Amino acid sequence: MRSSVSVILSNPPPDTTMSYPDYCTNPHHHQTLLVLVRQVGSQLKSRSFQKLYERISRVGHVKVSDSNGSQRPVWVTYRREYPVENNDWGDFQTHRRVLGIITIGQVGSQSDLNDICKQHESLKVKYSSTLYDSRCIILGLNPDGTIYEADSRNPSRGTSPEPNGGIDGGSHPPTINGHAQSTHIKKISAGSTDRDSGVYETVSSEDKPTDSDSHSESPQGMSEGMMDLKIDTNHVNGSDSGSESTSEVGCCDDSKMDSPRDSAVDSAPDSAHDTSQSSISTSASQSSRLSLQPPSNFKTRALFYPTSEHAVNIESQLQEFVSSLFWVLESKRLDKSQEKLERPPLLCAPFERKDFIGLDMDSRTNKKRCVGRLRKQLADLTLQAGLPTEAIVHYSHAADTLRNCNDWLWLAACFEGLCAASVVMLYPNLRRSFGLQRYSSLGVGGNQGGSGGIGNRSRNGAVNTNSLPTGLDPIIVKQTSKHCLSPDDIIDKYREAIVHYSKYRNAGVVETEASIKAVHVLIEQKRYLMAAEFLSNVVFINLQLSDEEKIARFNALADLYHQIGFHRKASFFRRVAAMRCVAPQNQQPDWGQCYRLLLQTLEGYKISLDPLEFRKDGSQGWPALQVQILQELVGTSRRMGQNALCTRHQAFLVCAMLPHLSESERKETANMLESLSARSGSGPAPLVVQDTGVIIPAVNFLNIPICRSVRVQPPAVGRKAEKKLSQEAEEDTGPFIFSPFSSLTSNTQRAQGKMDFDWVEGDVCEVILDLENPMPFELKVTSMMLITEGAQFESWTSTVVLKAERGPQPVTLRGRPQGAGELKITGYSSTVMGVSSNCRLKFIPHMKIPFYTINVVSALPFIQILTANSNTGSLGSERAVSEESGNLHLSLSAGETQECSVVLHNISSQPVEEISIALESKMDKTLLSQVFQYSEENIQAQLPIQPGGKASVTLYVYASSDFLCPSRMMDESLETSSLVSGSEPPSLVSGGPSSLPSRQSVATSSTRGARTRRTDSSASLLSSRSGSSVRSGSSSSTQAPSSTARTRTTLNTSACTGRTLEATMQVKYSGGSGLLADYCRSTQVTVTVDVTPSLLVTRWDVLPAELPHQCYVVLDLLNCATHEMDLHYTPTKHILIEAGDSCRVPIPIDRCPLATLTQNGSDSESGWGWSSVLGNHVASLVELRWTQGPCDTPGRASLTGITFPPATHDLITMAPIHWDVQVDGQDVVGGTENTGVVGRTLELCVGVTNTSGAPLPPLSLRLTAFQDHQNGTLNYRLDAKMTTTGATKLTTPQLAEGEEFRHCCGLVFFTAGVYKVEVTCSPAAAVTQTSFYENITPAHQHAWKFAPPLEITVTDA
Amino acid sequence: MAVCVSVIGKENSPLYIWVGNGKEELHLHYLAHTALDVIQEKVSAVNKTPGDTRELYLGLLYASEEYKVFGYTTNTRIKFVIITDAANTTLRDNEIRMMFRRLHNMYTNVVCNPFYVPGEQITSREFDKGVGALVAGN
Amino acid sequence: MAEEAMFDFIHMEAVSYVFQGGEKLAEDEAVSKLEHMGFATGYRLVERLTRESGRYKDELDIMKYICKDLWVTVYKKQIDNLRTNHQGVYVLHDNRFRFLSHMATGKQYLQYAPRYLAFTCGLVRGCLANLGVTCVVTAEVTQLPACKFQIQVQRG
Repeated sequence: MRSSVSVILSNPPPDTTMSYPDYCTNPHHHQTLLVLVRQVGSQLKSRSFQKLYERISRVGHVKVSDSNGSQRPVWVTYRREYPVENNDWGDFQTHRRVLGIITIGQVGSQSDLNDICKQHESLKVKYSSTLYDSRCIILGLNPDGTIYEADSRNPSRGTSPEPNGGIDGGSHPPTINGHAQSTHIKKISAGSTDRDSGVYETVSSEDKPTDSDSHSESPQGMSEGMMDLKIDTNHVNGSDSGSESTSEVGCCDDSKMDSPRDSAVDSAPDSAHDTSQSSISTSASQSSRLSLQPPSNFKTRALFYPTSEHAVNIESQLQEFVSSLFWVLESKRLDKSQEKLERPPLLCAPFERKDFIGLDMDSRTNKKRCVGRLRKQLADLTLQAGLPTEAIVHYSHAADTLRNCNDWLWLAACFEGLCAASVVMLYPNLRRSFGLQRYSSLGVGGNQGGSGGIGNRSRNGAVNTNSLPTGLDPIIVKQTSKHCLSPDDIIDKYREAIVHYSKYRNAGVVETEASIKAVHVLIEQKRYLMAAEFLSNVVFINLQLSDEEKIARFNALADLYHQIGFHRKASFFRRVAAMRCVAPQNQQPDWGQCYRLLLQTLEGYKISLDPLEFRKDGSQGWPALQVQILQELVGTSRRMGQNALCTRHQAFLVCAMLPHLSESERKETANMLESLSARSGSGPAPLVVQDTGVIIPAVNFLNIPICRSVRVQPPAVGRKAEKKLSQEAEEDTGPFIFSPFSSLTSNTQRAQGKMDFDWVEGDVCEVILDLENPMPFELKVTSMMLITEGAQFESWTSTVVLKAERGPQPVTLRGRPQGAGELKITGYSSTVMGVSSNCRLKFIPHMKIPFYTINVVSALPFIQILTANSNTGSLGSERAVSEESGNLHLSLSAGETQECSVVLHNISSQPVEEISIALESKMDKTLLSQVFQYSEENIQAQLPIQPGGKASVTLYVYASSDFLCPSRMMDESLETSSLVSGSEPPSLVSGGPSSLPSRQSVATSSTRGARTRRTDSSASLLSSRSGSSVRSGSSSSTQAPSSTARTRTTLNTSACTGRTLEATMQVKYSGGSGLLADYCRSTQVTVTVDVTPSLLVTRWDVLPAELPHQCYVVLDLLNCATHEMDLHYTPTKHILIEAGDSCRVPIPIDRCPLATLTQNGSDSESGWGWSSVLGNHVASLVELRWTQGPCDTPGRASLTGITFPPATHDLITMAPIHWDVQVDGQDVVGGTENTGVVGRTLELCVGVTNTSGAPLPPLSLRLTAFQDHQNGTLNYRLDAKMTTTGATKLTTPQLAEGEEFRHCCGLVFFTAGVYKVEVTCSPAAAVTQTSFYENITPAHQHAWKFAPPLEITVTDA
Repeated sequence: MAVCVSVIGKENSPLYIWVGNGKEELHLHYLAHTALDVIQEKVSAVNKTPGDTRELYLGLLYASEEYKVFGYTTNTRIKFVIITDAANTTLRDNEIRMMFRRLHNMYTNVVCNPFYVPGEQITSREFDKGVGALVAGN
Repeated sequence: MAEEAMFDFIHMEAVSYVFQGGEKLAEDEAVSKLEHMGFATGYRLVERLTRESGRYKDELDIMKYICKDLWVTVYKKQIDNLRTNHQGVYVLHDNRFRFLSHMATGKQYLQYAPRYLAFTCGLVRGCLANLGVTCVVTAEVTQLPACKFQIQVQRG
């Protein structure tokens, strides 16, 4: 719209240019009367002034009924300051004239009053060129008498005599000023620029006479004066200006109209004046009198109020004042409308004047110009006088005239006026919406930012609904006025006007204001785009402005842009304004203001200083710009010396902008932050920007470092607390622990962050955070600790350094619960780069769980387990056992016993008051009890274990092992050996080759058939052990000296390898407060015993002993230990066995009484039942003890589990019968020499006594003689060598228990030699009931012998 | 011819900005940013002004002494802003329109890239090349 | 034409994959998976398809676009009937919906129909989302191969 080249008509002195555009201007101003309201004197507090000012400015609209009775709306604009330069433009646009002045002052003394008056007057002088009337509101005086009454009256009185002057100036002005104007106009036309003088002339000229006659009426004047004041006041109280004006309605003539008040006023003053004289003579000082004297003073109407509260009638007074202004204006208007001048004066804008000097005013164009301009001014006045429709008519005429004479400037003004008039009618509400004061924008940024563009717009919209002043309904107006511009025309005219203005450099301000007015209209029309165009035009208008003005300008633009909803643009200009405040060329940079302005720009850039907010809509911003603004904030706050703020902003910059910062930027911003925070750290508390209530929220580094996950750690195994009662519960829920249900529930618990384990009060607890370092450098996080709620928790700070790499790095935060109950972990606090922040999980975006809940149980004791095995040293050499579970490792040789002491060390602060120890192992109970032993009582006795105290349990460990270790290998080797080495006399068995039943088996055993039998016997569930023992008899007889060597060869292959016994010692204990809460702890010691083989019984057999009630258990013992051992196999006998050597020992034992057999053997259906019984019998009797190794470690072995094959049973079991053999009457005991002589009869008597517990069935007794040739052959065919007398074969009767059967026979030898007689008896074949024997030794051919065989040496006579 | 080409996302945050070298980058950023006000206004004004040709090309948004700012919006609320030198008067409105069309095509191609998540910054060599050709005016 | 069939088959495969193949999913899970596929497709698709058309005046305008241009491009036919209550509910009737047209009419497949509509619901939602209309799209079949899609626009 702006013409590219701006035509400059003139180059005027700068003083005439209006330098202060009013950015809150608005079309309605054209319609208003401008009143200046000033605070005068030093006493008045600005607050009470502000209050009064607000009250005053509320009286913005007065209705006056004009001479022809129709209501006239009168609008007023109140201003606190108004530059005179602008006032000078009053001719150009009359609404720029200051028509009235109201001063407000507080007086405490005469001098106050004086300088108030002085100031008031000087103001009047300043604006005298345009001023119509003025008021002086004086607080601190009350109308009715106070000590100040006299003084208080003085001004009023002082004014009173002159009030005629006052009247002339104030009430008569219509006429007078009219003259003044006209005369002065003449002067102007005459070319003199001095108008004021003219006015003064008229005034002064008329002062004199009034002064004189005032003196004459002094006496009653005084009382009237008093009255007058009263009347004045209560008259005002009683009726508002409305009534006042109506009272005046009747008279159409100005002078008459004013007369009543006139008289009142002038009568009052002069009397007052009189008293003033007297009072002065009495009290008042000369100076005060003088101060009252200046004639200009008399024109002022003063209003007295004790305080602003008492000023009840101030509104009505104002209305009165306004209407007075109105009347003056009205009269002027009327004059102008009526006067027809042959030589109309040329009105001009201040800067124009020079241009017209010397121009021929009589030229047609100039005449037209003058007329046009006059018409335009009339239009202005008409508009102000509340007649927009008429104004429009005037304007349009003026416009035509001016257009013809190319008077662009005034044409533009004309258009503007036209628009104004139309706007007044179309958009009466517009005036409401310019509520925002010029500097309102400098207030708190937040509140303004708060209302978005839409808000603003809607605000404007909302205004429309407001009730209008009566009689101003736009609709009606529209109907009535045909000339009124349409909305679009208004804009076009404005545009045109602006184009014209733009041709004049000096009209910049006017142009600016015109544009702003247009914008207001457009906002009202909701045509924001076009409004934006006008605004951007404003930007182009170049005015020479002070920095301060520039700032104001940009702010104004920002506000306007804000109103049209262009927040970005608004922020842009706000920022420009901010930068202006601290521009380098700016002499006194105002960082504070800059900062406040910058704060306001944030909203436009979608920056919210609350990181949480920001994260939500952070995506909407423009990172590059955001970064810059933030940096500027940082810089500014630093220049302000607000280090805390500065740090906070930098922190925010780093935190919020992180995603948009490049590696290098991250580095440098971080460095910057560190250097700043070094000066003033930033805590997690919000900051308040002083003198604006703006709150800068805390910046918490939720994303530096990024916390990926939180892992609450369960206590260490040993420290876990268990519900004591829940023990059984757990047992039966055991199988379901992994059932979908429980897992499901546990999952849901997870979801709520509920931990399924407990923490223990007083214990160190851990939480692991997985942190990620977004920075390209090593990140140092100091004083990092957990934030918790609920149960008391002492969290420990820790410092971590995160490596500059992607991916989470685990960090452990520790703490110690101080009390039992529910503990909530809600987040963690950290200090990064000097910024300490509290990071709540619930704020961390990707954290699903807002907090973790852990149950803390009250304190429990904790014991550490120390173990020591007694013989490797005393407690001195204790081995501390790792906390969670003790480990005790022993290696013993089989059969060895060791006692080791387990020491329970209470390293907690709680006493252990309860303890229970249990052994758990995979071993079967019996073995377990055999291996491990300890005394429960002993422990219980030691309770309670005080903190720091110890208790010890002694654990006896016996390296039990299976000492019976036969192996097939050996059998095979024996097999072969027995074949080669034929039969030798049994080395052990004393006496000849007693034909043991086993013997027969041996005899056969060496045959193939035997072997097959064995194999199938072995097939028939014969354990290899029994197999070996079956033949051990023969082997014993065939044992070669090389046997040891042989065993060595087979040693490694044999079963003598070690084994390990394992058991865990479960120690449950509790105490302290935890005990009351039924919690306990458990720890355990795992005891591992490596058993190295020591002694092995590789083979065994039973041989008859010399004594019938005994037998020998023959053992082949192998020492597979690494040391030689000293073996005690019977209490008396002992033998040394080299390591790896094996030897054979006979152990005499008592044979097993039949009774035990009959008792225990009943179950046996096969011989094996018996064999185990016998085995036990043997085991119970045999105990092998030894010492071995350097320190003579003792060991013992038992033969538990040994069994014997049926063949040997008879040997082990007691025989059921007792032999009693006599030769020639003398008893034969084993081994006694018997002699006989050839041919002579020897009497042999055999007695058989039933020693078994039961009656014996008949037995067949047999006596068999034979000769042993000592070469393995026995000769039973002795018919030729001897004979017997009596039966050698007979059957005994049934023998009752203990009953004896005797049989005697004779032996006769024919040749000398050694004879042997074998005495056997076996169950009689005839006997039917063999069940008894079956019972004893079934499945086997029984025979009991008298051993050793009877031996008789026969000699020749 | 163009001194700045920018693609702006639904939420008015830049997805891609190209600034001619030798230009004061940040200033152009500000121009593009403030242009969004106008774009928003124009788009929202669609319903009100009946005579509006509902073209994706929004025409001249505003002009400063040295630059002209043109706008274009897709139906999916993606905005394109092209800033040209005010001095360059040879540039005709139609050419600008064509530039925007090409830009739009390029953008849709980017969106078709399976590895591009809509709403994220555009980092595509292809796109860079395209813009390069665009501003070079060939 | 080939590429149409192509689209049909791919869609079929997608459905069968989601319901049979891969990990076993609950019915609704699978449906929502398909719906999401549709959403992503629509979101990108509309970017391209609306390139030539002018700016849409308002919601209804957009809906018309969906019924006409989009449907024709994707399903080679227009929506047969568009209804709205002018309070953000739009109902699109398709009397012969492409994905259902190859099924035997009658009750037997009625229960499976939803599987073949999920993708399209997503597609529509995706398009609208990208066009700035956040909404919920549901579909229902009463009589194969006709079906109707209900669009519930989320205000605010």
